[in-house]
Amino acid sequence: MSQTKDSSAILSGLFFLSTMAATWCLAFWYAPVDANQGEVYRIMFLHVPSAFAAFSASLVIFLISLIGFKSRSEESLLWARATAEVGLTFTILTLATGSIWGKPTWGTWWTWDARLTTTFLLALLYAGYLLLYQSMAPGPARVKVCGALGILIFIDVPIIYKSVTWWRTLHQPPSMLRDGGSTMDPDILRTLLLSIVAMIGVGAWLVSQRGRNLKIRYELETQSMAQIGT
Amino acid sequence: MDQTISPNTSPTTSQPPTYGPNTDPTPYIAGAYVFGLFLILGFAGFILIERRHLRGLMAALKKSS
Repeated sequence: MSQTKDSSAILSGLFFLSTMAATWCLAFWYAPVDANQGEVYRIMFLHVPSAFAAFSASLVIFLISLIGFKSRSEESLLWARATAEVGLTFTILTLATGSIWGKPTWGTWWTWDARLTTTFLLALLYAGYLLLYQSMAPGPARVKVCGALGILIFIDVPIIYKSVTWWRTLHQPPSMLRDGGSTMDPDILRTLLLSIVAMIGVGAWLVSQRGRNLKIRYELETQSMAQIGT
Repeated sequence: MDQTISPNTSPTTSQPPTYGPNTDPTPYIAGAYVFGLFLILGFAGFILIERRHLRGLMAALKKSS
């Protein structure tokens, strides 16, 4: 039964990864060249979806935190941990691809710009969540403290989004989700939206599989403790 | 004299630009996508290897009980 589950996990993973690869192909061969930035803008089809996947992870952690406050269940924290790991991975990818894009466009790998700083803060919050989870003993206190941090992670996301309008930044203002509609070429927008959906799909798959691993590990620990007790 | 001035190149030097529209984007695009692939496939691979290891441990535990 478990072998069948693992095979279907591999198959679904291959599906999500090939969907992502297909959107990358669209990014290179379907989307036209940007009039201002030239070819280098194609990094955006990796950078923006990674950011959206990281933001989606924060929403999941927020919901799990709310459930955790009510149920005080340790199991919900396993899923929050899995989501934080995936969120951190995608935030690192967002920062790295943004930095790689920044060098040929702005002439610098990094600047303490509001958008970059608040995104860096998101990475620190995700890392802090994982450290906190590991350092605290299982119990209601851990559920409570991690839940509070989970809410803080979620609060950072609208700040990241609004940072380019609240402060003067080097990072360009929103060109997709803005008042008055998108300023993007329809082909670029279509490709970008598909890339976001595909990347969120990959993120969801990673969370589900990592969460399942953590659950198996948890069962292993409780079963082995029970064996020692008997 | 006809001179093209890019944001970071002096008209007196012939060094390739390090940023701006005349920069060769290939290494940057390749670097970003290779890093993305490495990170995502690395994480997915780690999960699947860990799963196999955990299933092995679970089977051993069931055998010993």
